[in-house]
Amino acid sequence: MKKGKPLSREHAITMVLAVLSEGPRHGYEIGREVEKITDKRIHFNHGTLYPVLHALEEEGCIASEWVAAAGDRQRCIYHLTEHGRTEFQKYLSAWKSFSGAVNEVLSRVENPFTALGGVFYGHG
Amino acid sequence: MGTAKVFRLPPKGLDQNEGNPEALIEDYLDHMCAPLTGIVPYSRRSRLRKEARNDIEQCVEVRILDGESPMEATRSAIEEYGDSHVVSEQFLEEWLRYLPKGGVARNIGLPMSYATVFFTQASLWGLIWIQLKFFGSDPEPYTFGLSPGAFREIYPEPLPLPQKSWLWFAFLVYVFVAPLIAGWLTGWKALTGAAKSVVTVMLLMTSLCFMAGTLMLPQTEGLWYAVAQLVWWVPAGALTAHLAGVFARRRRFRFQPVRRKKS
Repeated sequence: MKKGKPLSREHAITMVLAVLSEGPRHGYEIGREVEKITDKRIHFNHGTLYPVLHALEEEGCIASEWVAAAGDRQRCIYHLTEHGRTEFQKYLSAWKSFSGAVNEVLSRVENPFTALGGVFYGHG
Repeated sequence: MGTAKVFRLPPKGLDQNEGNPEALIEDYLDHMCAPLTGIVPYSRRSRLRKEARNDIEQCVEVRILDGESPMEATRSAIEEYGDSHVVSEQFLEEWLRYLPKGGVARNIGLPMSYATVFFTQASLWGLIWIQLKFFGSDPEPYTFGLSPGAFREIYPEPLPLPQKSWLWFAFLVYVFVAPLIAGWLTGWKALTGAAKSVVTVMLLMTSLCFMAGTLMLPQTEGLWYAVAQLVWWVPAGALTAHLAGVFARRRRFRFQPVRRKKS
């Protein structure tokens, strides 16, 4: 089965920050979480995920920590920093404002009565 | 010379005696990280490798708990993780766009940096050539007259065509070849997003050459050069950069030659 649509970088950053705002996670878990929440409509490419995580870490939005896992293994856990929380709030409000505006336009077009009314009264 | 192509999963149904799950993961990670060599620093590659291994191993553990054999679980986990060349290509694309170290390159991206370096140099060499030809022997600057007579003296009608000399033909060869070389170098180095960067840089350079060409009037070489940049350098440079990028990516990700010593 073909996997879901890949994310753009900005959306990927928002998704990563959103998932990490719920608690620390490792890379694979972040991708899986997004797929699970969106019912696989959004797919996180691994090649895209790690550069995003590394860039966010360089910017100080997230921090990583290697912790011991089963056996001799180590696992890299990412968590949100204070700066990351502030950035996430900025991304969130920008996204809400943008999606709200798009929804307003779409809700007008989706309502056939409004659309027809616009045509009848010369506003269309 | 043989070719180490993309990573291929072993056929389904292999049992523990026929395949080694650890070796399979190692082989996959080798194929994933090899194309990044020479571009992405070792520390980044090793971190990516470590994190990818963790992801795959975790996925394998889940599948073993679901009742799959270790070999089958490893095979499925790798399949789910994605083709090695696709993962590394995506990683590299993101890396080249956003992560390289260095002030300017970090802000404008590597493709734009390479396009700026190669195409600005190529354009300026052409411009310097024309400048030297006209102003090298006669350094007296042109003065713009205010009266119509003086204006016509500077801009005689019709404007003269460039004089045909061996230097002019050598210059034509340069104008023809330079965007191909600069485009190829840009695409080869940048791997991705080269064509767009070339167009952006060349539109700026063409504007500069138009301005310089206008200032050189009544000699028209400068304007001809600017026209050549617009109609030849922009499309040829962008196309060559794109083709070089495609070629470099194919070579790096899919058809990596393996050199064997002759015995």
